[in-house]
Amino acid sequence: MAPDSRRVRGPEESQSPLLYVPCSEAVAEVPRAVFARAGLLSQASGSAYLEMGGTKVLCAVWGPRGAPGRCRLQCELRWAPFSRRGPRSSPRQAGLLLQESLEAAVRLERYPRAELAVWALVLEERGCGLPLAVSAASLALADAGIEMYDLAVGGGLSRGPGGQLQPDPLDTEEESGATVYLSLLPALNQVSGLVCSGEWEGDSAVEAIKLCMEGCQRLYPVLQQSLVKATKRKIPEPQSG
Amino acid sequence: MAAGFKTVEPLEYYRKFLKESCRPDGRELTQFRTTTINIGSITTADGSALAKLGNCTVICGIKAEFAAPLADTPSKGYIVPNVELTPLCSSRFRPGPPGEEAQMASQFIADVIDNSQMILKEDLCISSGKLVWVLYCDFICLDYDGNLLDTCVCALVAALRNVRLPAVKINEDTGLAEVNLKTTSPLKILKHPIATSFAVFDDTFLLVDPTGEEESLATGLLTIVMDEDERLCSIRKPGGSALSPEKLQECISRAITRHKEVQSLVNEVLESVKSEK
Repeated sequence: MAPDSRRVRGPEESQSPLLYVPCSEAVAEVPRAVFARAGLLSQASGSAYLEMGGTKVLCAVWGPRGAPGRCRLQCELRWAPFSRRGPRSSPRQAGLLLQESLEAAVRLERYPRAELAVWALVLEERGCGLPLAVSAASLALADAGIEMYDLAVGGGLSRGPGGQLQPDPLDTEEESGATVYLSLLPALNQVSGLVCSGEWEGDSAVEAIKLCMEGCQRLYPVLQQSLVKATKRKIPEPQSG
Repeated sequence: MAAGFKTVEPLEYYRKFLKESCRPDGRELTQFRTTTINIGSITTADGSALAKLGNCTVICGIKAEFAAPLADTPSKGYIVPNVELTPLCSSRFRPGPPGEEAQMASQFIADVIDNSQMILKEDLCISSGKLVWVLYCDFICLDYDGNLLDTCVCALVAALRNVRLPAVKINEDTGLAEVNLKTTSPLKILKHPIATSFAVFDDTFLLVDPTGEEESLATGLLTIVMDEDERLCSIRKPGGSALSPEKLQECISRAITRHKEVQSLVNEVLESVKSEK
């Protein structure tokens, strides 16, 4: 492979020092603390920042801007090179999952011949990066003033080796067991996206989805509050006299 | 009325302000925007910092990894800076491989690290000829509003001072590395280069810390990098208006005062991070 002249060159290959350290088990606090803020970037049409127990996601929305054909929702989700402990990760094809979860929430028919671009970046991954990106993206869309049916709220859950269900899992727990990611439109009580991986059997999957939906319902008011705050900041203070 | 004038005749709009020696955002010509630095916010990185100049925001995360040194420099480690300008920060940028501006910024940072000798690459050696540290310094622009280079250099210096490397021993029998995460040590940083950028307006006015708007209207740009001993590490002047030696000297003395401002800000933030622990 020819060297890429567009980047500063480093060594051909390198290893993370964590490969040489014995693993330590960490347990997530339940529930994990959440921080949400909308409308913080100056350039984008809409933006949101979400943090949940160490996982940090930033999302920007551009548009609607002119494009031929029906309205398209263009989504990209990336992980920062320093977002994980251990080996440097390369971005995965997560944009499609994000797009599928959001499409049901946005009133795309209101924007003919237009394009909406959603860019999400996971700055630090401590588990649940994908569902948090879904929540951040719908918050950013709402902040941009895009017409929506409802906010799509993401939730995650993992199943440990003993069969116990763990909502909002840590990255270490996600790796070790089966996981469910779900995105819910809470006001309509509709599921707009669902990704299951690993081994699930019979009732435990149904139970997991129910728990996930409950988690989403709990997150919903937090997102609503941050939107109200962002809108209040945008409206100038009424002038007295 | 003023907003309409600004959209139709942006340059005239600026000239009206410059005549009075001030700028549309209320700053004087030699005044920086509010600088904010947050150190150690990304715990998955070995060192991290977020720097903000007004709206312009850059986050720098440093990851340290093991690599084999090059054969001709067996005791030298690597420092690999990479600046990413994603569509997140401005609609000007497209996804995919780094564009021209990102390449320029990455190379500029690499040159600043080399020229200033802030870190000796020999200090990154674990075992000569076998194992060295490679520091991946990734800069991601979160909000693009002019003066990218100053913000990046600020973030770099702050993030490097936050780096803690674990102790490494080479096992004599197996030849493999043994990492001890409990004992960590900071990097040996010899110099603290700080960048100061200027925009030249109409070949005469010098504006320090230009915003995105000012950069696009300016007739020339200039970036000066200084270290604490008032030595020049780098000057970048990509074409544009010519500058007289007196003007350049003026810029250099402004860069010296700017260095003191940033240095004390970084120290202050580091102190507050320490006392929190």
